Amino acid sequence: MNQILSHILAFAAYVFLQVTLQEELVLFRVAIPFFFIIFLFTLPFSIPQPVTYLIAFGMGLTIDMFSDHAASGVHAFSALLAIAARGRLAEIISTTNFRNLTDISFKNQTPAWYASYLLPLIFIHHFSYFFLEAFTFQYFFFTLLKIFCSTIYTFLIGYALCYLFYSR
Amino acid sequence: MLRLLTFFSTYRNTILFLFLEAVALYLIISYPGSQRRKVGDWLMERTISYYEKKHSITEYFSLQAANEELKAENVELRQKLKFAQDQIFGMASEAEKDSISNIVVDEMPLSKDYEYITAKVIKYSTSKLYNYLVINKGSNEGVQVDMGVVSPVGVAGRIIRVSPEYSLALSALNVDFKLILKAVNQEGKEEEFNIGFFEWRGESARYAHLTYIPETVKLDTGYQVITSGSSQIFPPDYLVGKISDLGEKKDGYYDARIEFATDFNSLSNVYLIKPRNKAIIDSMEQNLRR
Repeated sequence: MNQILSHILAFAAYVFLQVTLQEELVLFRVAIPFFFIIFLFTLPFSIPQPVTYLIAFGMGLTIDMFSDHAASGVHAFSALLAIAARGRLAEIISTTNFRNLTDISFKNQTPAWYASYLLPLIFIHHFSYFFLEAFTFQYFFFTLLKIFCSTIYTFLIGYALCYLFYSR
Repeated sequence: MLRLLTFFSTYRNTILFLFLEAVALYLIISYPGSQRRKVGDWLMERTISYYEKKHSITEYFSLQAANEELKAENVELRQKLKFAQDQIFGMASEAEKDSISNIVVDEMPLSKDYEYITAKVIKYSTSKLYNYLVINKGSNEGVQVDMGVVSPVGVAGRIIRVSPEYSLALSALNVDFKLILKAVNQEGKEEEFNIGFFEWRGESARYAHLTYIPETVKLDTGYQVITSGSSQIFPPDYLVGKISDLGEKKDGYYDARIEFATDFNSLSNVYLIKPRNKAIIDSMEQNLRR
């Protein structure tokens, strides 16, 4: 019960910070951080997958509501796409022996593990988000540049958050 | 039947995933659709009030710069007014001079052609391909779709959606923002052409492009780019920026890079422009289309 409450508070905090700080944190017009997805990627693996889908969809939709195209579904689509990939990815990258996914913990992981877990997921999300946002391939290389810069930027913020909340 | 049920239970995650993605895609594709406009407007009112609160806090940090900008505009307008008064005075006959010198600035009539509404930008972005401005006045204050949005120094956008208390404008930093422009050199208006199309390509908040300039038109860096007035949105001769670079000639046309007069990174005070005879012109156009 306590845990659920702390997750709800974290959800609210991530959404609040994302919609408030997004424009202020943009670097050189190409690095745009969408750090709210870090909340989704650090959800414990013990939560059933369909529930994580619903959380991701709901969170994406909430962020969408605050974006300029009120009630469009770009964030919802991208967040859901990334969360669906995370279980499989965690299986692939975990070299230590574990019986099932629920054993994976975010505590005491190395930076290399975080990089190989978070970077692909953030990349999937950003790839989907920026191309759907542009909705055209006319600015293909500019969009790619945005994706790469933003992925690295979001990862740095995400790693800092994980270090803060999951280090011993 | 049992098979069907086992199928659903084995693939329930995938089915949920596909279903939710389909909903999201529907939302994305049908975004400009009218059936969701009402929901969108309702949401707009709710979420924007949050940004308005944020704006009322952060506004203090840029108050000084905004004040300087408005003061500079005031001085410029006063100088122009004096110049215009002197021009009229020079042309007037002896009999008229008395009455002209009696006109006090405060009592001067307002422009017959355009109505100006002052407003504030409470939310803007510059980093996307499609940037928008959220403006703190709506249909209650007489804001209408297709009014021009200008900052004290230059063109900033165009109103695309209006709710009772707020309105949403396409920023000039939006790849959908289109405008016909002309250029004049610094000294005056000796060289004036209806020359090209405004185009923003997303790479910079300071620069846009002027495209399809015919080769026969000779432009140079430093020329001012102004609105042509061929649309009902902006009055003619409103500053957009100045030419900072000329592109390669190709197929009889060439491009130029424009440096914006408006600083989109600190947009605050704006004016919304409405032609007073807009309703008449609109109904005329509709009649013509029929």
